[in-house]
Amino acid sequence: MFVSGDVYSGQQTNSQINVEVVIKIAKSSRDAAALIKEHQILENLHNVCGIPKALWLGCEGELHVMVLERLGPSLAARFQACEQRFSLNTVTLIATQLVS
Amino acid sequence: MVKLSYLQNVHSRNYIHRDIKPANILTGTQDSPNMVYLADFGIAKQYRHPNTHIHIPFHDGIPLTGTLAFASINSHMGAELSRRDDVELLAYVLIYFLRGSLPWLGAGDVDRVLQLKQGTHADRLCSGLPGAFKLILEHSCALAFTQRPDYNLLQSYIYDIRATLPDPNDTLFDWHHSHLIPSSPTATPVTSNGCVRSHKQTIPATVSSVPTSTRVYAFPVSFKFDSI
Repeated sequence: MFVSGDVYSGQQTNSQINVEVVIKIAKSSRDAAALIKEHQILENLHNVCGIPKALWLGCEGELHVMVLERLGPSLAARFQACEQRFSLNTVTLIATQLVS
Repeated sequence: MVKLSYLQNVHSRNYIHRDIKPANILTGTQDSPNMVYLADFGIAKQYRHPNTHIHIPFHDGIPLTGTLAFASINSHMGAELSRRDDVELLAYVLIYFLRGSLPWLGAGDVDRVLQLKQGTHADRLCSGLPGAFKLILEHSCALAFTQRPDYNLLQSYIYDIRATLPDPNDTLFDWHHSHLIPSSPTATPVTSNGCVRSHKQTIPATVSSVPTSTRVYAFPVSFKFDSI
């Protein structure tokens, strides 16, 4: 099955403010191709509300790396924390942003 | 001015996401607590030409795309995916959040999951839920391969439900009320039963306390990161 690479957290260090980032690393050439494609898509979706921003794509040694803005926990994690049930209010708030 | 939904926006820019699931919808940071984000475009696809808007042709015989638990029935059937599948995935996700589960979670093999998806009538899947969720699912299933989802209709379904809430203006998510909020602002991977695709998320609990093994790389904007 398709796995596009490993995901790590990090911080931007040459900035005055503390920028939290996510770093996606491709470990094979197939992963690298997928990473480059994903970066292209995120570039094309630049400035679309509700889509994480890609900050950088490049190579570090033999690894292809993409750096993204770091957001909060996923809804999977939130769902676990909320004992596997969301209220109708929460679900419709989510739906409002995604489909309406 | 009409505010476009994320899905409509992504589709209007010629892409389909193809892997909408709880793990790929992120919540906001402290700066954007009332937002969710559609993340991970790792298997997204351009479904039409950006200039001519000519739709990709229908194919079948394609291995299941996305994540087993939330995959559309078309995806099980080996079909090329299109906008309608993003709507179907989203319907499953919303129903999952309300029900707490889906009948095919934990079913194990792909064939059984498909059997349960096909065999569970929308009435039963959505029993006890506001009728709009069934309508959203039915809308996705009624669309032809190249057909544009009726985003306004989907929007009206959601607005209709919100109008019935005790406080339609309540914009706080459940986790804002919860005492169970994870201490870390980062996601830990949650493998819903039946997920066949998962991202390895090696995210330390506290990023602020940088371990000694941290390596600092000289990126153009330099980043340091852990767990390499």
